[in-house]
Amino acid sequence: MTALNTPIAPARVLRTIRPIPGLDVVGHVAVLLVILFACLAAFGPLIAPHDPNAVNLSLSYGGSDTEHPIGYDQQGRDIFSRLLHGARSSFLGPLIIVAAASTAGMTLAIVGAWRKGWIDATLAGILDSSLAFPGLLLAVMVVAIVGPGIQSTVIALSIAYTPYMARIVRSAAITEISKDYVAAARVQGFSALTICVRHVIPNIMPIVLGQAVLTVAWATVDIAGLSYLGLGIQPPAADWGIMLANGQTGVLQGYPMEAVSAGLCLIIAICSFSLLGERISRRGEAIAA
Amino acid sequence: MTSSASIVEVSGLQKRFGNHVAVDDVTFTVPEGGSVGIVGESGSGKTTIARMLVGLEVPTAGTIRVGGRDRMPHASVAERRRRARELQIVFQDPYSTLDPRQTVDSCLDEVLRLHRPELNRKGRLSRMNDLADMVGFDSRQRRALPRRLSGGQRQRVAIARALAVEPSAIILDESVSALDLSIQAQILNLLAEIRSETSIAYILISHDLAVIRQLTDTCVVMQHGRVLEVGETGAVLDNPQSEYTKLLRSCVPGPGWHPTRLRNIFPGGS
Ligand SMILES: Nc1ncnc2c1ncn2[C@@H]1O[C@H](COP(=O)(O)OP(=O)(O)O)[C@@H](O)[C@H]1O
Ligand SMILES: [Mg+2]
Repeated sequence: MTALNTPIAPARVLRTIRPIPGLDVVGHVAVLLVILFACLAAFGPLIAPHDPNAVNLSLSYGGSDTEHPIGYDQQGRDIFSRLLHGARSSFLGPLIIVAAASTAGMTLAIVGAWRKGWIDATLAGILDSSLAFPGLLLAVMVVAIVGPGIQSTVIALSIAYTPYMARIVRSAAITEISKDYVAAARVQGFSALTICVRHVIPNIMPIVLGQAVLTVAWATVDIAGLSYLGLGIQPPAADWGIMLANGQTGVLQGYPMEAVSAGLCLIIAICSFSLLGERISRRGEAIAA
Repeated sequence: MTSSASIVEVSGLQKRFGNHVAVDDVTFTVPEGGSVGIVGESGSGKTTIARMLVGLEVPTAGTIRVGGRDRMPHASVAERRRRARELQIVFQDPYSTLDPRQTVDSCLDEVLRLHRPELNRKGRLSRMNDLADMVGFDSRQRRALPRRLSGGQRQRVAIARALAVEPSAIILDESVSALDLSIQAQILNLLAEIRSETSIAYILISHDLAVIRQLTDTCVVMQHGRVLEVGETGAVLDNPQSEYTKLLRSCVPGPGWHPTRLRNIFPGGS
């Protein structure tokens, strides 16, 4: 009860929110949207008013009402609830991909940059040649062999994004490792692992983070695209890519709400992540320079 | 043998980068507590010698003995830590010599944790106080990140960081060259003071003869990776035997310097 009687609390929270120095208006909007999407992915399925898979054919393409703000899809399922559920499945895959590709890419890049010589040359060769191979094609091939599903696409895309991550981290790591403070730490007898973990990685983190946020955008497009083609997440799961594919028939019949709402969610999410990722990367480069 | 009284003995040192010979047949010794200067124009191989001494580059040929032991490449972690207590280095560029994310205190603390594991928090703090006093840092500066410090202040931190290890010798590779003259003078005085208070040996690398004159007993003159002259600093600089040393000398304002000398060395120039 006391909590409800303290109207100052939210005001206090709002007052602590300050603009991020050096970030432009677009960047701030992107930050807010990314936070919104993160919340949707975390809590969307919990706050969805209806079962996303409850079919009611008599409500096929039903219009919106107070309890169903966006209306119904072809099978009479609540579009709003499906969008909320879709947030999680649309971001979970990309998040796993980015975590895996960042970790693997960063490790390979730093080992190469540190050891130099043939190890780095071999790694750089492998990474460069794998860049020539489209990640989406790799994912399609894996699906062709293993069969469609979210696991195989996530694994394939994690592998496909590793070289992108590694290439960007490698050039940053080479610059950082060539700095005198790293040489000084070596002369002082610190181990390579200690120097990398305590000094090199924290200093290149802005670049890794920027690239990771960008990769969330790309991987979201990939997973949505694969799901749209029927290779990724499988129906009847609620997923923005699947909703976009399902909604096509509705568009033709004059009921565009499912496709439009899922498409808008995807576009806004992808733009927010790209815009934010670019800004973080640019700032990381500015700091490194 | 001189080995008991020498901290560093370099003999027949050579370094090739591909076909390019950066350092060739370099031999010199640094007595315990002594101060040796290495002079030479840019590109004469001074930095390469320093990097080989501290194990950042592997010599193509020759031997490096420090504290009476040969320095072989690929040392174990324990051996590298032991070597750290023999020889430390301060680099030239004040802007990359410190981790931008580390305050002065945390930089020193990290070194003390590694090299003085017997010290507890209080012990480390008192040692940090000593080091900060020695290089003239107040408590506010000690909590500052490198970007809040001037070039001269950063070089002082690098000196304190090297001293924290309590090495027998310290290499200063053009450590004041990037600084303003007045700041240079301050740091040179600081180095002279440190040497009078401790028994530390210096290997001072510079292209500036005034610096060499002020701080070294012996000096090695280098050109194109080779040693041209070695001797007592005053004698070498006042009475150079090689044309090259004469040239170096006349290029820097110092005792006996006069612009007309340049005309004698570069005839034809105005
Ligand atoms: N890592 C390297 N790779 C190739 N050449 C190098 C490298 N380091 C130094 N050199 C070359 O070795 C020579 C000596 O350089 P250096 O030791 O830095 O001279 P100084 O410190 O006297 O200016 C220069 O010609 C330089 O170009
Ligand atoms: Mg040099």
